Amino acid sequence: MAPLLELQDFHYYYGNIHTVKGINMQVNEGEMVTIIGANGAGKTTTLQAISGLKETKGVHGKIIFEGKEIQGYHGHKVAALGLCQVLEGRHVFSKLTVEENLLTGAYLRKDAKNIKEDLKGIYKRFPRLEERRTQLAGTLSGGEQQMLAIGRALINKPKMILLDEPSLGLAPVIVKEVFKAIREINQEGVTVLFVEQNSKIALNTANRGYVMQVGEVAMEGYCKDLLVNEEVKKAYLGG
Amino acid sequence: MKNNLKSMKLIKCLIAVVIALLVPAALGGSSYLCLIASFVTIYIIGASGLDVLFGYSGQISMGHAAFYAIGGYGAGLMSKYLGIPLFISMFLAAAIAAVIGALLAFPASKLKFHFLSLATIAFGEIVYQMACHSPNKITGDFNGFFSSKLSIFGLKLDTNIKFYFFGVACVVVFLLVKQMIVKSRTGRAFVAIRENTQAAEGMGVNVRKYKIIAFAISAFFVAFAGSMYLGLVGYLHPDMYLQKQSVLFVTMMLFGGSASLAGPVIGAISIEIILEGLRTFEEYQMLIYGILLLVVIVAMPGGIVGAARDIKAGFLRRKAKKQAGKEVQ
Repeated sequence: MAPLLELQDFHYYYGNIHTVKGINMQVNEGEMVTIIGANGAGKTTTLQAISGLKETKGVHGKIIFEGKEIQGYHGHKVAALGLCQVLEGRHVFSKLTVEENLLTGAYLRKDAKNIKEDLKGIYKRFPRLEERRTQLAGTLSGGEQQMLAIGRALINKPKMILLDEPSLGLAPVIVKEVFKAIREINQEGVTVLFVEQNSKIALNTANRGYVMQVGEVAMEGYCKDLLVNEEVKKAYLGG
Repeated sequence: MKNNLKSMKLIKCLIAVVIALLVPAALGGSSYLCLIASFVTIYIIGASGLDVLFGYSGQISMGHAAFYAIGGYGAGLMSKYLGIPLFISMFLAAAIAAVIGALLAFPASKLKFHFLSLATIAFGEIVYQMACHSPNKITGDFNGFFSSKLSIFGLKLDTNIKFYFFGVACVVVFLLVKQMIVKSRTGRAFVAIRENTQAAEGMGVNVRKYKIIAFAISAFFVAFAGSMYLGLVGYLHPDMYLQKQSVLFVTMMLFGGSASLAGPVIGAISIEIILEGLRTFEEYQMLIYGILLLVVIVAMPGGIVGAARDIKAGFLRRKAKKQAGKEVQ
């Protein structure tokens, strides 16, 4: 079976600067895959290029989603295909309430009636959002904002979500909570690809992982193998 | 509860309309004061149009005098040379302005903040120059452009009082349209773009398309206001469309409070009153705008409406605190 998302010889250029240097990557349906690596390895660039949030002229190579080449697509078109990006932490609409944020997330949906049901579903998953539904999103804690960002992506019923640093700036307890939610979402059938600096929790959560180093994939494999790999241990897991 | 709130709002709006209709009586039927009141209706539509662009979709324009000019001259030229009744050419001119607005937004939607304001200033200057040096002097250049006054299907709006009632009717229609737009899917897309363009794009909002739509809508509003001016005064001069006219719209919108129904209305009324009161200091007008804008930006970024909202929220908070205190005792 063809993978749900595939990168073939993918490059990214910021002007003349070659940041991602020809990577190949596959994500199968139902999988949970992580990209780990140091700062500046090109992880976020890769993720944003997939979701069409980067200048499309910098993209070279192929990005294939469900058999369709999407490398020239703008963000709104990618989102319409059911490939949704959860933006890095604080990208909620801070001056709108929690509920308005979620409803704005449902922008692509035309079945207004069912949105209410799905809103309930999201509140059930993140009860804290329900408690704060009339509060401005900017007044939420970091963890709550992250949950809101995830909820806002989920209300579009995506086939696959991309997450950028879900643990960024969160307290360890909250990180655990966020990752538990991501795992549950994956178990319910949504394919997940996420970028993470916290390699330990990333490799303990995902099925498979890619290790990026200065724009290239240095290693790939099942997380359980990467976790015991000497090089990975040394470089990313603190010995 | 929600219905209650809605009907409260509706009642408030109805009261506002009734008050508006009583204004001429309150002014004692003075023709001059009714002229000022008519200008206010024109400015309300203009400032509300700019609010769709700035308040809701978060794009600044410092060149909306251009659309004001396109509306005025467009309506006048069409009725003069093509024989279209002025009332109909007003709508045509506004529609043309909307198309021009969309064409301007096509490249301009890539720009942000100061770059966008520079581009729109340049656009305003282009239209000003075209009004000054028109082909075959069709706009009358610096002599100005004369037109007959507005009449609607035979009903002549030859006095300022009559025009004022027409103006109020236009305000009601345009504000209803504005409310319908901003509460719709399109309006939600505008707000998403204003709050976080990248996140909006990631959620499936076609950012460029909606930025263009916002420009077109605001151009339509402002151009219609411009054509109303022609219908009221019957005379246009290029110097009405200098940069300061664009600044006036921005000042009115910000002073009243952007991204609200009442804000541009309150802003247009209060700024017009202030300017009329200071008519003797006309040469200092730009200075006064500048000071007003500074005061608003520093002291009450939400304009009058925003400040009122803050005061109300503070009052409610104090009340809640008091109640909580009582319960503890």
